[in-house]
Amino acid sequence: MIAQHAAVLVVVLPLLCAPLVALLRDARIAGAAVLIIAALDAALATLLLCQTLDGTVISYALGNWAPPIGIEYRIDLLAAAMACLLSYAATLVALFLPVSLRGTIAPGDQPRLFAAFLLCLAGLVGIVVTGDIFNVFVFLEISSLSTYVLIAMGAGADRRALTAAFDYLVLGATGATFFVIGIAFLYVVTGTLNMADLGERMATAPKRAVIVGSSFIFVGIALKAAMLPLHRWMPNAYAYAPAGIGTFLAMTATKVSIYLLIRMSDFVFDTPGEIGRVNFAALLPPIGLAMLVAGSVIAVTTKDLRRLLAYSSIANLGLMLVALGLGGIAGIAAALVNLFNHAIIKGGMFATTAAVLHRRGTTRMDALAGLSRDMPVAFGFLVLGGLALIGVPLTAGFVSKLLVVKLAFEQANWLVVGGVMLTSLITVAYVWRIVEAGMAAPAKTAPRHDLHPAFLLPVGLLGAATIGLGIWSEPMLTLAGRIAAQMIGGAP
Amino acid sequence: METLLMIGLLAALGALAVTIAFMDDLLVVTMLSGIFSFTCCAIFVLFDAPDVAFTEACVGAGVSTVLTLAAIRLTGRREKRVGRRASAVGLIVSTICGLALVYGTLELPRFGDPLAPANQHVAPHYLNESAAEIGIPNVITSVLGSYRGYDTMGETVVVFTAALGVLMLLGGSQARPLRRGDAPARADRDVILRSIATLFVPMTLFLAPYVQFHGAYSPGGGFQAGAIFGGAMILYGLVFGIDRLNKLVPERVLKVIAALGVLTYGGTGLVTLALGHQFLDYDALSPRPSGQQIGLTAIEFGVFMTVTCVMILLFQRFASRRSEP
Repeated sequence: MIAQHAAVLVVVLPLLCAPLVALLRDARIAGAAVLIIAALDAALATLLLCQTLDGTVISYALGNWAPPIGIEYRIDLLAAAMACLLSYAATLVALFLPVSLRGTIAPGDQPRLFAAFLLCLAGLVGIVVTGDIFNVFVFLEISSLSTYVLIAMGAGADRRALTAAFDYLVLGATGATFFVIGIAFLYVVTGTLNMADLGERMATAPKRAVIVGSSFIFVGIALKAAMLPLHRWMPNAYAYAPAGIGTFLAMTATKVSIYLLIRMSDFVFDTPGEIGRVNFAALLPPIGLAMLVAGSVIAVTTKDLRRLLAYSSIANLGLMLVALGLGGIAGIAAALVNLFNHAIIKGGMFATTAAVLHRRGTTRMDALAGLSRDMPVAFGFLVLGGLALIGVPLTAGFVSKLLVVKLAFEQANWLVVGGVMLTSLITVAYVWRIVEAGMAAPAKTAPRHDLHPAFLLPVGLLGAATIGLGIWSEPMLTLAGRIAAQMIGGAP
Repeated sequence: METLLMIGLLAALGALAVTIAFMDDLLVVTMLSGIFSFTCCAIFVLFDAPDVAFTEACVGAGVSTVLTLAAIRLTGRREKRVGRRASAVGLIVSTICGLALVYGTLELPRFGDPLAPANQHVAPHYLNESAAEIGIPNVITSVLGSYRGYDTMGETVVVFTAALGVLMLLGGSQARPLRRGDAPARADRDVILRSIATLFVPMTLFLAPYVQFHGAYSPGGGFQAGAIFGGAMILYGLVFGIDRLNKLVPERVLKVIAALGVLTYGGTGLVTLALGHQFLDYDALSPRPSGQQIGLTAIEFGVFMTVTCVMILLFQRFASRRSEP
């Protein structure tokens, strides 16, 4: 029965456990509950991945109303892989979330924060498994609303979290409004909300409404994906959110927006690499390149480790957009490999940063002095992540960058090749800043006091994956290739 | 006539929006937003969408105005101007968006056109089959509760998330002691206010269950009923003082009921799963159409619980907070 209903349980489990967790009084019990729920959810997502690995598409009619009358959950390999990414990220973060919150948030408030965390997970998973465009909007609301609150809870450590959350609230709400206006246009001219059905009926729909509708949807997603020049909310949100939450967001939030972009370009608009009848694919490489360069350059100048990582994330999102814009099966596959690898690399770095923050209370660059002596393990993992960001061979970052460069090389797109190479050099500069700051002599020698044990497992696993997927890249490449082939409808 | 009315209402909306954008006094802005919502209500009624108008009147014009007032009481009445008054970029961007919307609507089918795609594809199924499949006359309720019941569950969770957020941000476990003992309306002076409220609060409370249970036949349902019930309680709190409202419905009770509402909705889905059907397939509960009706009653009750309690909770949290000096 579980196997049959896994498609809906993967969303409903965290969604309905959240109110229960919110009512708990003991922070420790709530923390343990969140870990168990996230792990169960990860198991359900894995089950879905196994069911869809051979190319099966699971269609689950909610309320037993056949689509397009009712809402459909439609899980292909891409959706299942994304659900896995989201639930694994939540599980890893749940391992150290209680520890990283200690001291910044009153124990009485923690159960509610855990509940919001579960709602955020449920909302994000709900976005990736659904086959109904309005249902995407509903779950986007759930995930966004809980994200705003989660970011604002960073105010216990730094009051700037409040303005960061408010900025994101205003921009996120604007993005959601654009998204829903776009849905309205598409509904008026097609009469359906089911994405597959929408894709079919789009061909005969009035052209203007489709163009305007898809443009609004594109801008809405662009805001959520922190595309240049709509990226302003993102660095502060990542930097001032509670460290564990920042880690989760870095691994998932913008990735889901990229997922939506891929889904919309294929599912709804049915022309791979081309969104609607305006060629959005042509927009992606320039935007992506600008993000790549601007993100890397700003990262060099930041004064805080978490902001540095956030700007580096903008650069990496740019790389995904570039890959997506190059088009075709190879383009989508390269974008997906980048997406998963980056989630792992950046997740590991943010988790390590959370551990440093937990010990030191700050992540300012000048306060990192002596890190290599006091916290050698944490420092080691930071350097490892940095090497992967640069794209040093034998790390996952090498594999993902190589794919994009190879693709651009084949298409003789020298601008992209040059841009990626240039940013790798800039990346060396900002990674060096981390190394330099960590090796600097401390003002006073502190006793060796490494990672809190709670961080070891998530940081270790993500670090191991960073190296593992760099040496043995075959599984990731095969998965991404299969997903891309399924999306475009060709043979794997 | 209707066209003229529509043009007038739209012009009023436009004028209100521009005025709001240029006002400094936040109290006036709040009042104008309330009027904006009421104008929207009138437009929704003209579009034959009384369900939406209902909700807009309760939530948009009523509750959100009160909540904004409560927030202004805590922060200050005047807007502090920071930086430029209006930026050229902002103006250009909003003009482009507006023009894009106009451009997109030029080609759309006319309002109420029976041949429009939106009236040709899934809508006929809802209109023709609802009576047989769900067995209730109000098609809106069958779409919201059954055909797209899962979305409505999501919306209920959104309402719950909002309450969770306010509870976490405004106080939480380190809430300040309640010290505002004086009722806004004084027994010796505000006789008219108190008498009208004494008359209206019970009547509004009675309206809520009517809207709730009559939702199968006429506009209404859990969201509207919850907003009406919550609105009546807020009116009570406004006139007779927040302390009496807090005593009448303590926060810890509201929190539990709000969570139970979501669980009632989701639980209905889990029960249908346990009975071997799809999630939220009410046919599991009993053969058609009575199973659908049982399911709808259950989920609408869940929505009612969550919405009512969240409305009251939001007001209590804002009103119980002392303004910062």
